[in-house]
Amino acid sequence: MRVSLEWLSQYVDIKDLSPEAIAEALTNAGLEVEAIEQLGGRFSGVVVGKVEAVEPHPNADRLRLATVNLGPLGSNQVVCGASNLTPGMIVPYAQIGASVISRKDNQLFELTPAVIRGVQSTGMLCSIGELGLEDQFTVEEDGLWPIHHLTTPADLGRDLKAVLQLTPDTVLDVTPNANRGDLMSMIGVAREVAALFQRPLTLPQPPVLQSKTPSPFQVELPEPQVCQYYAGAVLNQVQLKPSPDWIRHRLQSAGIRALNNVVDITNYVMLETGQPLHAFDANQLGNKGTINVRSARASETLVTLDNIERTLSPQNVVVTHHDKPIALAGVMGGAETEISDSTQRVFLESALFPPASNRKNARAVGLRTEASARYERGIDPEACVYAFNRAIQLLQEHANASLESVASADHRHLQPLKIDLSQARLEKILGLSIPTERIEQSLSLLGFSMTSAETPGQWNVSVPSFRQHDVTREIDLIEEIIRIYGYDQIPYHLPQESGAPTRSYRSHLLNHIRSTLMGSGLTEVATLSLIGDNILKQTGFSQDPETTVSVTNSHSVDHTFLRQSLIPNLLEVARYNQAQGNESLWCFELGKTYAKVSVPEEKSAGVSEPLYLSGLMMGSLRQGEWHERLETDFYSAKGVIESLLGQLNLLSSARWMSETDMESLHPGQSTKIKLGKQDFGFVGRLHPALQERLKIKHHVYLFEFNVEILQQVLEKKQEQLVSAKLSAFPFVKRDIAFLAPLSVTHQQILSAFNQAQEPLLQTIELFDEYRSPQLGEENRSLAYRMTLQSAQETLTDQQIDQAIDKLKQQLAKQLPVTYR
Amino acid sequence: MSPVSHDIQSQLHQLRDEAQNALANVTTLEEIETLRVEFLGRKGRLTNIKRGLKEVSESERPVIGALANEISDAIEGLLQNRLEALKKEAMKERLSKETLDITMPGTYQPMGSPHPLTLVTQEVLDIFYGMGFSAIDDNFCPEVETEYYNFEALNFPPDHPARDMQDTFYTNVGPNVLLRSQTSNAQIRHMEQHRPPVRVVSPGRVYRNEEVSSRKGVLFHQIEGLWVDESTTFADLKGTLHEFIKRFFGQERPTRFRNSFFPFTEPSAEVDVQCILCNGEGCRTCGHHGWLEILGAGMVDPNVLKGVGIDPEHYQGFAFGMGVERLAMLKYSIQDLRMFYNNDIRFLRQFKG
Repeated sequence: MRVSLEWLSQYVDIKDLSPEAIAEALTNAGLEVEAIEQLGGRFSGVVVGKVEAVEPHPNADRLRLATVNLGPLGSNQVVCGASNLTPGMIVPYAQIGASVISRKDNQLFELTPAVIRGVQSTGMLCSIGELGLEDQFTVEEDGLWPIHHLTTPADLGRDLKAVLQLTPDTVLDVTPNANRGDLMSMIGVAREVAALFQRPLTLPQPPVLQSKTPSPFQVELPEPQVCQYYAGAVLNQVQLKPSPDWIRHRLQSAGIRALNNVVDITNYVMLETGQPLHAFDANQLGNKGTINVRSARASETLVTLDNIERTLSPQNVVVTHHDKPIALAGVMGGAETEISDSTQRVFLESALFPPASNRKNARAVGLRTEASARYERGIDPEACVYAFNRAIQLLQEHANASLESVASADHRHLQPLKIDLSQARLEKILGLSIPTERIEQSLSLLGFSMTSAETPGQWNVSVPSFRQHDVTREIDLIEEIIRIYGYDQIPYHLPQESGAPTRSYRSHLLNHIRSTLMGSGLTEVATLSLIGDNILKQTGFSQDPETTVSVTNSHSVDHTFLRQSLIPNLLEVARYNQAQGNESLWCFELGKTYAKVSVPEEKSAGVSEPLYLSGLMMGSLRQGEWHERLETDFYSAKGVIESLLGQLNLLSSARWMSETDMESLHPGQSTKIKLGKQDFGFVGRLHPALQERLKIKHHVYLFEFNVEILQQVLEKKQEQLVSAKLSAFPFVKRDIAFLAPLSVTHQQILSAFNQAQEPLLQTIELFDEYRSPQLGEENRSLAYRMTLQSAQETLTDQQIDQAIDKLKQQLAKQLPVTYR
Repeated sequence: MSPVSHDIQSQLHQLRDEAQNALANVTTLEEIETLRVEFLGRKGRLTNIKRGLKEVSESERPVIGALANEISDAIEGLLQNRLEALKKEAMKERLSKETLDITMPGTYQPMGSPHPLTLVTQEVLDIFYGMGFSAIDDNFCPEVETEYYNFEALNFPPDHPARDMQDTFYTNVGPNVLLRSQTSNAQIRHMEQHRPPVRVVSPGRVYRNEEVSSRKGVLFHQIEGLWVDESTTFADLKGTLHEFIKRFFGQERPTRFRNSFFPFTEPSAEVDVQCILCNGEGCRTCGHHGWLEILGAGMVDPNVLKGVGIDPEHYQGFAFGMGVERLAMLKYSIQDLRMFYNNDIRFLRQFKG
């Protein structure tokens, strides 16, 4: 809302306060001031001039010399570059010493004498922009501002501000808190200022109306939930004309266009009191009949003031005359009953439409008007009478109107609201004590009245009607008091720490996972959990439609459901980075996935949100490639996971399954992983066909794990580490090499060696794999290095040979291997 | 001295001189070995000369014998010196051959970087851990939430504009199931299970039905804080958040607590910090106000406490919430929210854990 300080000063004395001081106080009290604007021109020292003669500039083609007649001030020569400069023009002339606005930085600058291309220039001819008046006047052309239509010949040399009757004013652009409908009015803001600066508030006191004549209109309110109060006054002998200047200025300061006195006064009183009003042409209503406010019927239509025909629905609320809609209640009037030049009788509406139904009403037609913005926040239930009287007073004064009759219906529940307030409670909440007189003064200036109870520091507070929307409890009163007294008065108190915080096992685990993966060279990414069909289509992934959580009201097709895997997003990250020239990428994300569950837990929405760890690796990030280039392959991706499981002491619990059923992975270069008996996740290469389709240059390796399973397994394990005693006796390394069919896996070989249960065997390490045509297409040679050691003695050659033989025999017994 | 002795004596001296001369021309370790055998070997020349000792008289023998030993040691010394010199030279040559261009790059697998949102979240949590807060785990508070936990229990009236479809994502799970619009559901879920004193922070994702722009997205990260005890005051709220801001932005900075409105706190405040870019002079980032809005906070509304069965006459406290993206944008001068989710690796690698 735009608050003119000139207007504000009608209600509260602010002469000695700077706009900045008022703005700061309001902002701190919850009425945020977004901007401070100067109206009426920031410029000074500009007078009216007439261009008498125009000559070419001797040294510049685009500049000319203008001789300007300034009436009693004489005449001056000005160098001017404007293309619309013509002899006879009346223009604003800035004198030496004048302040005008620079077109470069929009700042004021002071005009000094200048020599332009060798010719003396005294003063300057101005455009409207250089005076900052674009918002207040309309201009037809660029360049100098022709003002002949705004001036008379006698004005030459006179101060432009005086000639144009520019009223200097300052406007604060304020945004009240969402619960403060009462601040959508000048009086409401004035009350805040009065309370903040502890000054009296002076409000207009319109006469209370009493019409003797019965009204030819009847008002019916069959649905109190859509309208609680409706009054219509018939005013006759109305003289339609422009409003007086002060009303026009004030509407202009609020950003509302002045039209005619009747419409202007309804707007003026709305701005002043926060109560929207509407004026109908009574003749168009046949000067009589039944006014009814009701929900609209499906397919009912109304042409609103903006000349748009609106098809209504039962969400809408209409004011009807003989059941025919004449206005969209509390939103916009109808075109047919609009005030026009021929209007002589006015039907003035003042009504109370409740916030919820008004919001629906406005939303249903996609409108938000000055009226609806006020109704939807909730207005003062008593303002409808006060504003009505105020408007009639102004119409009588400025439109010569005479009140004929009033018809009304009232379903308001006006109940006084009283709240007990305790000073002790206030101090306990705030951690601050406030002097009793400041408490009483603040509340009283805000319009609350109070009676002291017998106990000191206890009050019974009456809430004024305009605050019953947001002040209903003691805590709300406490807020009012501290808001006015100032949050800055509250001390900073850093409480004593009591007890050390506990960090959960999960937070340790997640940190551990992050740091291990970063140590392995993967960078963390974050992607959106809301995705759309496009990304699935592009990356060849799908979700389970049964369990997918969809959003029913998204603005964008790219954000229509919650992800069940992080992989599609990671592939998108890979594509994005490749397009930026980052062809090598090792990244991971720890993020939630979402699935509907068939049997929801108590108090849950019925969705499980397991945390997943997913990663993507492609290209090579190794530094020093001149030395050795290591392109990411299956084993480097698997290595990252082995390193992680190793860090978590789970490497021995992991089983790597050769068979995967994932269509998007390379069937021969992917593995599903089980932890114990649980499916834990996978590592594998993106299917080459998919890689080709995504136009990714490097092979792409992916992994994804369920962190919840990881945590369950780890929590079950929870075993205390017992450190192993290291043997003091020498160790021996021996190699075992053999030929094996490709179908025999490393995992099987390890398992066979382990089944020999050789006590001397400390470690087994695969150190060579060799394939060649000589060995046959179906075979490979493998070489393992065994470390043997005893905790009791130095091993003899015989002991060593026996152990190695035992291992070889066990392997040959279980698997079709050939020793060479 | 007898002629025999004299002869042996001169032979010995000559042997030493010859050894010295021979060694001068030696260039390899093998040649030194050959000379050692020739001069000092069991069948070497010294042994040969020493055979003449038996011709020497008993009285002169100890003198000549001593000389022989002295010459032997001298030759041994010469051999050793030469050996050392040659070894040194050989090492020198080897080292010179092994000289590398030490300006060429080293080889390593660079460590990955944490996402800036993780970095900021950890930093914020660490500060609050330092002030005695515990963190609520991500799996404790769902993102897909019921209207009850997102609105009703937080004292939003049924017709509050935020509950509108325009602002909040609703889902196909059920008519009352939505994507949470703030992390404040953590307050309710935590207090349902824990009696005061509670002092917790809860980070997580929240969703708003917005058009995506450089300032707004469909989701962002929030950190919620809650402290309820018998006498936790607004002054404690101010002290705690002031301290947080000081630690997070690295120095004492003016802060401003403005009145605001949230359904779940009363009184409520918007917390501003003096603009970290212009120090309050006014710039584009702070919209020429000199202040940056970074936190929403307030005293927990009595209705919220009542709703979870905590008596607001006996317990009171404060809650606050902040946007992680906003904090990260201010701390690292990031202009566009979308940078966080595009994941350009060049952007991400600037952030070091």
